[in-house]
Amino acid sequence: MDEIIKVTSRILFPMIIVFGIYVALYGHLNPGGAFPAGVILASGFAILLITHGSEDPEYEALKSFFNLKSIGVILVSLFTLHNLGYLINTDILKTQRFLELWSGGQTIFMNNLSMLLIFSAFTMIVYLMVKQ
Amino acid sequence: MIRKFAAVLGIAVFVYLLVNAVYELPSFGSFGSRETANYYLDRGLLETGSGNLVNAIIWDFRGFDTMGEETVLFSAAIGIFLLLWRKNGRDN
Repeated sequence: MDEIIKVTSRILFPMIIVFGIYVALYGHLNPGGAFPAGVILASGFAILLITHGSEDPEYEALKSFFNLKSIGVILVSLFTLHNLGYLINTDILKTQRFLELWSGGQTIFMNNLSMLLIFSAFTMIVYLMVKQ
Repeated sequence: MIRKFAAVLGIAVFVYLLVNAVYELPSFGSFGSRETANYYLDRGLLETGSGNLVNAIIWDFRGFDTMGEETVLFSAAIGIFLLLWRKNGRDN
């Protein structure tokens, strides 16, 4: 891939990640939420994976980041934790504060868990497709 | 004989519960009163603590719906994972 695109993608990558984390953390206050946040984060990694394709020597460094076995384990455990989250007593998480970052009870918890689930699923799919 | 009797009794109890649940629903065709929508709007912030009501509905009031959605996404991801994993050698 062209050097300009590679450098631009490396500059854009941290901004996309910060924006995705912001959307997930403030999902219970702002428009957004877990699904957009997960896709934004996955798009950041997709840009890096596509620009530093499998012929690139720098791809090796990225490859060590994506150990697929551990991503699979993380995915399954996130899914379990996520489904358990719907069943636990969510009154524990409730605060008496409203419209602040640490409010929202169950919703902020589930927002971030779902964000991680969607992020890892989409990143894994993009990685597998680039690898082919 | 006893098994048949138990089955009939079980079905009767199930039908009784279902009919009781139907009586709890708003009457047929009366969706104009917007009972559920008004409940979400009135109690959403207090019950869930979430300022964004869409978020409150998706992750609290209709949490099981979202759980199903993410189950679909999870199974699709696992399907792709199993299809494409280890096609090019045993590394990773």
